[in-house]
Parts: sequence; C-alpha cells; structure tokens
Amino acid sequence: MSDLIEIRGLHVRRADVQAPIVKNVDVSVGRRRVLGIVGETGAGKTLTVRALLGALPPGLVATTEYAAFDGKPLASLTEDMARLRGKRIGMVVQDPVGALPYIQSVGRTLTTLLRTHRPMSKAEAHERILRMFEEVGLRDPAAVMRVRPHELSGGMAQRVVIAAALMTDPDLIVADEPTTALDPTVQAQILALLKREIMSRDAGAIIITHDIGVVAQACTDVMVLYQGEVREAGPVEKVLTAPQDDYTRTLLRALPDPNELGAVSEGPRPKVVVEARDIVKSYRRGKDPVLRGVRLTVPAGQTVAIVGESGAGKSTLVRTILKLIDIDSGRIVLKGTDITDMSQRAFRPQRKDVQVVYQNPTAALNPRLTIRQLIEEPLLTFPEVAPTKAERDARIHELIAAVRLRLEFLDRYPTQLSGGQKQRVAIARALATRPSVVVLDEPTASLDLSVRRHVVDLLAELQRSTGVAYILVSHDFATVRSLAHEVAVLYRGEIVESGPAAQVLRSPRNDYTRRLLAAELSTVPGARGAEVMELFAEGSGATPKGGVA
Amino acid sequence: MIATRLALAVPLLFAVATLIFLLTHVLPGDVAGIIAGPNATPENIEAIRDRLGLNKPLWEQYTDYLAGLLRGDLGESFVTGRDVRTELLDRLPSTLLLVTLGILAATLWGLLLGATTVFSRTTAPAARALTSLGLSMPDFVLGVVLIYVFYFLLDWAPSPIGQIDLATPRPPDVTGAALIDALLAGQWSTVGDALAHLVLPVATMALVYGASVGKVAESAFLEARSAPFMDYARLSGLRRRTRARYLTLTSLPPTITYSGVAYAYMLGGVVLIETVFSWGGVAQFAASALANRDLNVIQGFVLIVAVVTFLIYLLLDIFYIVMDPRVRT
Repeated sequence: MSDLIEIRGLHVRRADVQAPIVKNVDVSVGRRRVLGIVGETGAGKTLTVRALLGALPPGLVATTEYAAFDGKPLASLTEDMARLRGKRIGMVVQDPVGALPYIQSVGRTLTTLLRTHRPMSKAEAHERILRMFEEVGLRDPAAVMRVRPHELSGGMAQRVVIAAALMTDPDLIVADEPTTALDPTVQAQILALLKREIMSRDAGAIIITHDIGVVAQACTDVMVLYQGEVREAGPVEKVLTAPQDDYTRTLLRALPDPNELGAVSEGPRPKVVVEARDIVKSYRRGKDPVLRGVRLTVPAGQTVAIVGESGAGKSTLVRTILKLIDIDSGRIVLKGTDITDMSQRAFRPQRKDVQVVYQNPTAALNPRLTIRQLIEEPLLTFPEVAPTKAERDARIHELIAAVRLRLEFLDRYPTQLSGGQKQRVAIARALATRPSVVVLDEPTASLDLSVRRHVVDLLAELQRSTGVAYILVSHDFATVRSLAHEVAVLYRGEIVESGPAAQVLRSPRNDYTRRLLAAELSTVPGARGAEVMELFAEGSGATPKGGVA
Repeated sequence: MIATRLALAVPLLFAVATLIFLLTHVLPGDVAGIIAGPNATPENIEAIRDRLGLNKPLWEQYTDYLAGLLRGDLGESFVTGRDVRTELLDRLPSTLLLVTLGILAATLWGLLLGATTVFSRTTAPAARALTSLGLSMPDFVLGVVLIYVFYFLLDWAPSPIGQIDLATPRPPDVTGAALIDALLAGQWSTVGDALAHLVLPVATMALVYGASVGKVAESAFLEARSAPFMDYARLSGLRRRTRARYLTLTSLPPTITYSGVAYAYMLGGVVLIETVFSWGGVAQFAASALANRDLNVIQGFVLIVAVVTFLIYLLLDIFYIVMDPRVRT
C-alpha cells in the first residue's frame, strides 16, 4: 500500500527572492497515520502544508522534487491539488466560526460544499449532512443546519467543520491548529473525535500544531520544524521520549512538569489586598447573571488563579475588580477601601494600585510609541511615583532591567520586538506605578511554548522582589501551576471550588474541577485520557511504517 | 429595533422643524424688502410684512408654524403665493426619479470600479484613472463637459433643457416627472425622449458619485477577499462561482450603506445637476427660494428632505439586518 501523500524536497520561497523560507521538507502520510507538524510561530508549519495543498498565498512559489497523491505522481501541486481539495482532502481550520460564511445558514454552506464534490440532490445532501452532524456529536442536527455560524459556540462550529471535512469521504484530513481556539475540555473532545474518525475511515491526517500535548495525544508521527527546516521526524513515541535533535530537546525541556507546583505559601495567610464579596453581575436586565454571588480574596504578594472554561465569567470577574464595569450587587474592597460605589473620577488616583497585563501585547501596546514612552506613560499619569524627569528615567531603567530587556530596547517600537519581548514591556508598564495587585489576563496564551516558560519565571521572580499580588486568569494549567498560590474554579458564574493550589490541583473535591483537570492534554505519549488513549493504541498498534520520510 | 426607530421619528422631525424655523428666521436680509423689490415704498414693505405675519413676535410665528405643520399645512410661498406643499410635492417626483436613477447608476458603476481595481490586473489602472477623475471633478463641471461633447459636438444627446423636448407631446401631469407620467399614460415615444434626457444627468452622477462608491467597494472587496471563510472556501475546493457569490454578498452591505448616505445627501446636492440640466425639480426650486428668502418653501423643503432621509436610513438598517445577521446581537 503506497502512502496517501508523498512529497519530497519541498522548497517554498518568495517569488522575487532566491533564499527559500521552507527548505527541503519531505512529507509522507499513510492511511491510519496522523502526522503532527510542530514548531513555533514562524517555523513554516502552515506554509509547508499550504504548499503541499497547492494553495500558497500570492507571491510565494513552491517547488518539489517529487509529489504524489495516493500513488499517482502529480505534475503540478497548484493545479492537481486544486482538484483534490475538498473532494479527497478534507480541511479543518483554526477558526471554525470565521470559516463558515456569516451570510448564510450553516446548512446552506455545507450543502453547497457537499454537492460541489459529490453530485446529489439537495434532499440527499441534507440527509447526509444530518447524519454527519450526528456522527460528530452535534446534539440537534436539524437546528444546527438552520443557524448562522456566529450562533454556534467554538466547539460546535469545530464539529460542523469536521463534519464538512468528512462528509465527502476524503482520504486525507488536514487540520491547521484545530483546537488552539478551544477550551481545554472541548479540545480533548475534538481531538478524540478527529482521531476516531480518521482511524475508522482508514484515512490519513496532517495536524499542524504548536502544542506538544496535541501531538502526544492525537498523532502517530511527528515532524519538528524550525526556521523552515525539518529538525527531527519520526514516530511520536520515539521523538518525544528520546529526541535526537538539540532543538527538539529544547522544545521538550520547555514543557512544564505537571507534578511541580511553583508557588507555595508558608506561614499564615498574608493580609488581603483585594476582596470581592458576593458579586452579582448581569449584562442585560432580567437575563441570567454572568456572575452569581462570587467571593474572592487576594492575599498581598500572592497569586490567585481563576480557572474555568470560556463563558464561565472569568473576564467579567476581573473587569469588575478593575472597575471597568459596574456590578449589580456585592462589594469590592481594595486595600481596605470600599470602591464599589466610587465614581470613576474618584477611583482614578487608585488605579495605580491595580494594573493589568493582557493576553495580546501586540494589541495592548500602542505601535506609535517607543518602548520608553510606553513605560513612561503610567509614570506621567501618576507623577507621585516619580515626580522628576531624572526619577522617571531611573525608574524606566530599573523596570526595563527588571523584565530582563537590554537598555537599547527603550528606543525601539513594539513592531520591532518579538511576542515575548512585547509581553515583557507590557509587564514593565503594569509594574511601573508599583501597584499592589496586577491582573494577568491569559498572559501567556499568545506566546510560544519556550517563551512562555521565561515569561512565567519572570512573573514569579517579580512577585518575589516587589511583593505584588497577581490575579491570574488562564486556560493554561502549566502557567497556573507555576504561579498560583491559590486557585479558584469558576463555573457558570459561581466559584465551585477554591483553596491552596496544591489542594485544588492535586486533590480536587469538585466534579467540575476534576473534569477540567482531566481535559489537560498530557505531553507524554499515550499517558492520559481513557478515550484518547484507546484511540491512540488503535493507530499505533501496527509497525510504524511510512510515516515521516 | 425598527419600532424604536419609528418612535424616534416624531421627536426627530419636531427638532428638525424647530431648528430650520430658527435658522431661516435668523438668516440676514429683510424678507419683505426683497419681495417688494427695489422700487417699493416703506408702506408697501410694511403691508407685505403684515400679510406674511412677519410683524408678530417670533414665538407667535413659531406656534403658528407648528400648528400649520400639524394640519399638514406648510404655508404659502411668498413669491408665487401658492401652497408650499403643492409646490414641493409637484416637483419632488422629478427629483426623486433623478436621484434614484443617479445613485443606482453610481452604485453599479462604483461596484464595477471597485471590483476591477481589486480583481483585475490588466484593467485596474483604467479603473483607478476613472475613479480619480470622478473624485476630482465637480458634478456641475462634468455635466457641462458631457453636454458640450455629447450634445454640442456629437449631437447624440437631446438638448439639456428639461425632462423632455419642447416639441414632444406632454403626458398628463400625474407626478410631475415626465418619464413616470409618460409610462402611466402609455405614451411610448415620450418615454423614449424622457429616457434620452435622463442619460446625461444620470451619467454625470454615476461618474462623480460612483467614484467614491468605488473607493468604498474597493475596500469592502479587499476585506472580504481576506476573510477567513474565503480562505476556507478555497481550501475546501469550492468553485469560483460560489466564492464570487460569497465575496459579493459580503461586500454589498458597506457599499449599499454608503450609497444610501449618498442618496440622502443628493436630495439637496442634486441642485447643481438640476440647474445644469434645467431639470425643474424640487432642489432647484428650493435653491431659488433660498435666493428669494421664501422662508416657507425653505422650511418645507428641509422637512421633506428630513422625512425622506429618515426613511432611507430606516431601509438601510433593515437591509443590514437581512444581509448581516450578526448586527442583531
């Protein structure tokens, strides 16, 4: 049996530049094999896959030494693949809601898609789509057909897109970061679904991901890309447990140890800097409240992590503490002062005590200001921190050193910095006014794995040296484990469990907490998740053949 | 949402009525003096002032005016002495016809320009040149140029005076717009002549206002082209035709919105075109009323424009909800 897709010597370069962006990559995937392509931002993962799908963005060209699909050599990737896409190659994308056009119902989009590749009547198409919807676990298929994509949750939309990819009975599934935009609980389900469908249909798959957990749980083979070159490729068990290449080792070393808790508090609980009492908040009168009596206390100099899935109310909760939105009832006390009924104007001087670091530093930093201006801005807003120019300059230098950036960065603009460096600037900015509490809203979510580790270490160190308290909102349990002294689990607007990190994370009492923790993908191949495990065994039972050339 | 909009109409129109009343009454110039003419005696002027009620205190004039409005009475024209409502409504259809066809043509032309700029490599420079031409050329100048070329030099277009030739048999006056009246009366030769008279003014509006519609369409097409669902459509092997449909349907809302705004603007802005082509529409009438300080006509015209504008924005909102259901949430 020949491989489904076999590409040798793939190069991708810009039409006007000789130097390739993707260099000499070989890809081959057999039936019942799932190839994971991993690498950090800019490693060339997506370009590689788009090149072999014959769908590169304009201005880029791909060349290959040899290309074949299901044993038949291809003369031109661009032309031959265009005929195979959709028909024999199914596509799963990162942003499923955006992938479905909002101008029409989900059913109409899928009907067109199905009938484009498999001529059949509308009625037949409908029936088939309904069956597929059921197969991918959508509860009310008929209703899903009728809605517009924006009415679906991310997980539901991803199921729709998977159904769309599978309904034409393709031989190869290509998934580009299929679970990155999803909650951990949903992520585990979607991966299990993908894996099950691929195996039961005797198909093959390529999954692009930056998440080693996805590779460990859903792939049979892995290819590590770094700066457009393959650094290592082979069966998952081999590459993840005994990496041969230095870069692969660095990548794996950056993985957090799931058993290690970073922040342990000893002695009595320090005094409380922020206290939220019985917060109730609903966005529309009469509607279900988003927060239903949430209680949260943040001890000085420590970190309280708020975890929970999308829609649980995490962002709403921190926004009430930041006093960005008003609450319906409850009290918020900051350093002993009740700020609940304070006007924005009266609260303004106190803002220097509560700062925030956002998920996306690129969006948070004004691109027209230099790093120096960005850090100086809060100091100018609250001149009492550093009244004179000399004091401000001293403070800026102190901060840039504290976040481990060199002084010359001060005169650069945010666009000249990497994601991790920008997040450091955002941290420096948040700490500029010596706040007593900083809200960290998914501070590592936009960062690559290796960078994540550094930023987390930096945050922990800054807490020790400055005594700032953190309110951490994160999906990423690795970040939570490294930083949190205490963990509060938010579920549908209520705290269902809270306590010291060691207790909540290691021996959770609440069912929901247990489910949330179980959804975390282990980075050890075949380590956890009964369903995922079982499917994994199904795929790797045979002798590893073909896979990555 | 639509109900709240309709409820808003009442206070809105009241505010417009009040504002326009105040504005017209603080305009400089003695109304009675202008009406009486340069040779009038002070007694004459005083008599006119009395007749028009301009001697009453301002608040009394205002309450009279509002009371009239409630009855649907816009007063008399100071100049013609006829009922303002009749004067305006007689001329409104001609203007609406011209503006509707003009904006329709401008929208189609703009979509063509925008699509060409974005999707065609070979003809994009030509589309850009036509866009720049339209953006830089005032409508009344282009109108005169078109008259010079197509009437005076080539003699392809009919004489640019009025809605039909003087020699053409006039259809019975129903709406005041020659084309519609001729259609209603079934006078086909007159229909042809009326259409021929529409070509140049409509072309002028299409070229000038289509250029800015084209800029909007261009950015709408650019944005739609890079939408994630376009990429997905390509990757999942959808036909060109399907993808073109997606593109068009997502680019239409911003373009049509802009055209709607242009339509509302053109209700007054069309005066230059009406003047160049001696159209005899309501905008031209209102412009001369402004020159003559014919206060009641000016007030009535502004109110009519406000009502039509309001209706257009309402239609735009409904259209948007239909096209892009995300705005509902």
